[in-house]
Amino acid sequence: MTLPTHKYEPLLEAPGSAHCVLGNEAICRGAIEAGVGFVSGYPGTPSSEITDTMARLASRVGCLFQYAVNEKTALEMAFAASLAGARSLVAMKHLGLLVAGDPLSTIPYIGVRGGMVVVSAGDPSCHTSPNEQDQRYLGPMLHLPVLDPHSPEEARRMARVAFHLSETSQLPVLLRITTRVAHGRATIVLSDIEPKKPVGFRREPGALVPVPSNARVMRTKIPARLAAALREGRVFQTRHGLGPTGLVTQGAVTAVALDLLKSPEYAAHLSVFSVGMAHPLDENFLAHMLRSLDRVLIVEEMSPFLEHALHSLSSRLGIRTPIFGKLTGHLPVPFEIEPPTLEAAVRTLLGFSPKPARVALPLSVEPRPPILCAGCPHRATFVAARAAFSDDQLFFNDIGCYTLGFSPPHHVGDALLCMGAGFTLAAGVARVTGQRTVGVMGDSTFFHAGMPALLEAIKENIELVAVVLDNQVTAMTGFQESPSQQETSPASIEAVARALGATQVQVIDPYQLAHAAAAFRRARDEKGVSVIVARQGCPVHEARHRSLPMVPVSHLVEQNQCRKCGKEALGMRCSVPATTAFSRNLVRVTGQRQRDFDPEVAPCAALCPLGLCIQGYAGHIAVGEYKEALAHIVERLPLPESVCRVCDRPCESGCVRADIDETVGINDLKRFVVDWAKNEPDEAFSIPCEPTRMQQIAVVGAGPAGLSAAQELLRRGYQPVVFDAQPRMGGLLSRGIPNYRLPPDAVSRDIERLIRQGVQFRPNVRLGHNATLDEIFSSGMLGVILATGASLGKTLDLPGNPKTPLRRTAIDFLRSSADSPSDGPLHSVVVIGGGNAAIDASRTALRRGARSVIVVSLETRDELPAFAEEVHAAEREGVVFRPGAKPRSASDGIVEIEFLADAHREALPADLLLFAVGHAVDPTGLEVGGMPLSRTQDGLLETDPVTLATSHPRVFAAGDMASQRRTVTWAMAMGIRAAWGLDVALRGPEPANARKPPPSTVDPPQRVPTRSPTLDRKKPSTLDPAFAVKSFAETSSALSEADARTEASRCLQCGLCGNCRACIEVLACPAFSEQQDRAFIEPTLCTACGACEAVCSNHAIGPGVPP
Amino acid sequence: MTYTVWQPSTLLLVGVGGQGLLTCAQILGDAAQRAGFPVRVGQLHGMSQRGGSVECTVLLSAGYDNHISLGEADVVLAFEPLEGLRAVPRMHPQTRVLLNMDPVPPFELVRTKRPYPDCADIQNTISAHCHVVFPLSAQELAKESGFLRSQNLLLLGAAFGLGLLPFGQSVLEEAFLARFSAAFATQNHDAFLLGIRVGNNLLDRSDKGQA
Repeated sequence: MTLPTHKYEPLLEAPGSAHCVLGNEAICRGAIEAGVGFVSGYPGTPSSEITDTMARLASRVGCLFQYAVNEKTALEMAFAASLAGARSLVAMKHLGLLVAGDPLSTIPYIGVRGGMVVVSAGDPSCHTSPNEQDQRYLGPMLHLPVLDPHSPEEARRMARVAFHLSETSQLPVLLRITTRVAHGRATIVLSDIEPKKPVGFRREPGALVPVPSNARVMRTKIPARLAAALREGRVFQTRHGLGPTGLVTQGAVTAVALDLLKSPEYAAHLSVFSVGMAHPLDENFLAHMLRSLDRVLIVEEMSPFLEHALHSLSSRLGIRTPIFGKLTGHLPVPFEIEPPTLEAAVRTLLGFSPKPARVALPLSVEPRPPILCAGCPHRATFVAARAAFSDDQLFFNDIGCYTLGFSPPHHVGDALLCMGAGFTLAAGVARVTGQRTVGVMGDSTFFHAGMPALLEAIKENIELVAVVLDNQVTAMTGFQESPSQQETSPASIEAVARALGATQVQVIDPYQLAHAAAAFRRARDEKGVSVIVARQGCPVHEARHRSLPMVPVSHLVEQNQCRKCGKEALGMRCSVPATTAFSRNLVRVTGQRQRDFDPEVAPCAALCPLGLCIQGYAGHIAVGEYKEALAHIVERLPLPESVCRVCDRPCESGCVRADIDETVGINDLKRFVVDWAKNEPDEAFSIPCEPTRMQQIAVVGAGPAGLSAAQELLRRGYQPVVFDAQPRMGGLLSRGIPNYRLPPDAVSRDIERLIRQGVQFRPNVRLGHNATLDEIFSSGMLGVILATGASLGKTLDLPGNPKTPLRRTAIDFLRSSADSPSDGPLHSVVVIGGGNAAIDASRTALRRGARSVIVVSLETRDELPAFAEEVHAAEREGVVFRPGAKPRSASDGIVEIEFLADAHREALPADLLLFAVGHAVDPTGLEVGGMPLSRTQDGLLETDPVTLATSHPRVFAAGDMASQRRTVTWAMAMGIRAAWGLDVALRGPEPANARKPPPSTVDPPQRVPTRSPTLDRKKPSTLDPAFAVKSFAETSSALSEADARTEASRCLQCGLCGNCRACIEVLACPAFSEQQDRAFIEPTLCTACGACEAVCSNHAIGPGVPP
Repeated sequence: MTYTVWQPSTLLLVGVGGQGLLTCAQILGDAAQRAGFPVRVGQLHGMSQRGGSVECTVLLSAGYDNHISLGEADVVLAFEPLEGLRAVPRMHPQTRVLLNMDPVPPFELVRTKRPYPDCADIQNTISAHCHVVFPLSAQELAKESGFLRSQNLLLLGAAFGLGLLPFGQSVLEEAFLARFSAAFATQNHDAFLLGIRVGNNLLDRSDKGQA
């Protein structure tokens, strides 16, 4: 192989040689042969190769060249060159010609001097344009000769002849080419090159200034000009074939007709008349043609331009040859005409039977539309913008690579029109609706048409965020130069914006996603026009420009860190997939978190006894996905409606927002979802269970611990049978916690769901009274989980008359209030104790009519162990507190108390004295085979700390009877753990550990103050205290949907997410794919832009290491 | 290297933007011109770098139009499996297909967690609608030989080695040497030669290669 001695440049080879070139290149050759002296244009598919080729060759052929800012200035420059005596050519796409419409319409009046050729490339079938246009109409409308080639060779000849034609007629010639010819390649034969014309501007008084009086004179000269054009242009009328049916063609489709003529089946029947000059039409030639044929079929694309002309001609001259075409329905009106379509029309005309249509194959193949390249800075800008604005923000897009942002997942582009309209559409909609809108466009587009649009918005002080995506090049059309290219151009987008009056201008690097999002947030919150210039070079252009390899070192996904759920080591990873909206929210808040706060487990989740994924359900609520939020909750929480009303919320004590403003209302969010779901069908609450085995397990005690154990047993394939001494299930939930905190219907719904899931219930069974553990075992139960609670209320021995005040335990009082809330009038009640039972009893007493309710506690007001909200509510309802005191005696309607601090005493009126000073485990029946189960020193059942097994290997215990930590959620966690422990004992560790119980201790990470802006917490309303005490109606409520979403948006999504696909679903960079459920970056596609680093909330992506 | 009796006159190139199809079409046009064939090349593009479907037509007969209509492609050079599948309606029972088996999943599939169809199924479907499919993996070959950026030339060479191109090796070489700078010419040429060897091997092992 030998390398050639000189670079092959087909357009500059020797005259007489033949070369295979593009139609656009052929036009350049024709212009070169005509000695063109000036070429300009604006890139636009399918014309771009004309300017690109002349950019490359102009200096070698003594021609001046410049890319223009827009088609109007290009056309004007070309006309100026013509006035100065040079032959000039200007190129643009069909849309661009209308941008240059103003000058184009007046040039024929003034007339050209040096020949001027306007090449405008049309796009039938809209392959790369928002519309197709039949530009031939501009001929008669503006008095332009119009040439329409059907092959590269014809394009070359037309381009060359057009200059002569232009000078003879003094009219600019519209050389109108369409995609199939512009981008088709075929052989051309080079011809000789004419010498250049001398240049110089010659004064012609009156002839170059079309003020109206002059214009009217100029107008009268036009018919003669067109006649001159006709004489020169008729060389492009050709006839092929001799058949009596004529195909009259114009433009690219002529090629299809000529090829059809070659077929032996049609050759004898057809002639083809190619009308190369669409305006002016040679009526003599056409009339002669019509008269010589039996019939004609007009074959043209997009509109019946020629067909109308021939009808008009026939009518005027009395020609009766039948004319067929679009108007007769033989050919379709819009779009290109494909060979089978033409052939079918011809066969119809000739009376041939139709060809059998090719059977459409039932193959459906995934479409492959163009997308933004890997590393495209526009993608990063769109992600940053989406992170700052809500999902209902309106975006208006423009023409360029960034137009592709309208497709999923970015959806940036609620409407699109044309160059520069990104700002004007946004401004117009903002003006009429009052909404703040966002308009985007590129740098080249900004200088092309965006400047006046921006001024339009600024002068009306419109609520607009105007974004210029400055990638320093005109990329979509083939990387032509842009006026923003810092090295070559003095123009500065931000300086222009300020000069137009913009006072809020930010320049950002889109790859720095967090900063970019912050800039968008600032712009979002400003008033009037805010300008953002997102500046970062196009990586494809940069690589070509500098001949660098595309990728120095690609970024890497750390496989162990990708999709890492912080609780995975504890077996707590959830199965609810992260939706795109969830992932977008993750990305949005990740940017607002401090980078050095990077826990694997969110602090709230670390503190939740049940291991709920709080960021999971909060994130889904924030984006309106309540079903997914419910799925997160139901995965870990057996009694959702009850718990969200009585939860002790350790999560809220760990929330990082407590250091910024206030903790997120995590329980309020849980309550919102559960409320929303209360009438959802059972499927929404369904839990995956192993296939049921015929293995029954007894659960003694139908309170929260027992019911949770029962559900956990169902999940593990057992058949749980729950026993309880009471006729209904629920334990403290039904009898103990008052109805105004926990309405019975909420508990019922939770319990009925459990029953429908398969939990069996045996009521009125009381251990040690009508049942024993031995009997339970011998009835076929493989194991027992004890969860009977600490049901015995303790009392204090106080001196005094035991009959008045009446002494009871608070727990008995609460239970009887639940059973029959009206036994005996109450006047004055004193409650001893500072925990929840004391507060529950006090508020219940008020509702039962007591006029004086006083709570006496050893603890000071700040030390009260009861829930703070309960204490506040009690105070607002009128409960009186005597903290830091103990009772001394109780007699004759008086309880005497003594304050610890100073030993002073007070006498309190009381006809009822309630003790809420602790609860003990009832030991009745807690023995198997005559052996009592081991107890601890404080009377609890002794259990293994990990498995919760008692001293009997098949008896496990959970809840208040086995722990001093007495909350509903802790009891439930123990119930689940006990079920697991029993499962390990029965089936061994392997199957049991398929689903681990919630961890017993997880250290929450240390909180680091974050920099997020403060946001007020949304709180649900509560019943007015004066009204609340009159009944047992529920005092709390759920957040409204709007408030819930706002509150959920305050959650900073602290931990890692094991289901996150943000890099693929939110950033959507095509360098990413999934391999074995982990994200993977293709090294040959990655440009190391780094935008993905900020999108990965698991911090799994970073720069690669150079080899 | 023996020339087959069967002479293709319509060649359809299909693939993904960025794979170098347009370069191949240009080379084929130029080579045909140098070999004295009448030639027309069609290429609808404008957004081809952006990873969308691309197709080019090369017609080696006298004429003007550059459409290849349904059932009219004598040869299909498929640079990507899904694009090869998309081209099935253009094939006829005598079509020879060179199928590069390296999938480039449309990103929408990745984003929505849908699988790329099985490549063996794609090959079988295409086989059912044409004369023969010659599969290869340009990426594997390129990795072995270091031609990661010249896979299009490798495929062109394979097409030649399979006897799918009716002109000689020298005009093909002239055509692409005329296009590339000296720096790229050598690497591309080596890729092209490797492709020819691969094509020859595929042809020898196939019983359907000859007309």
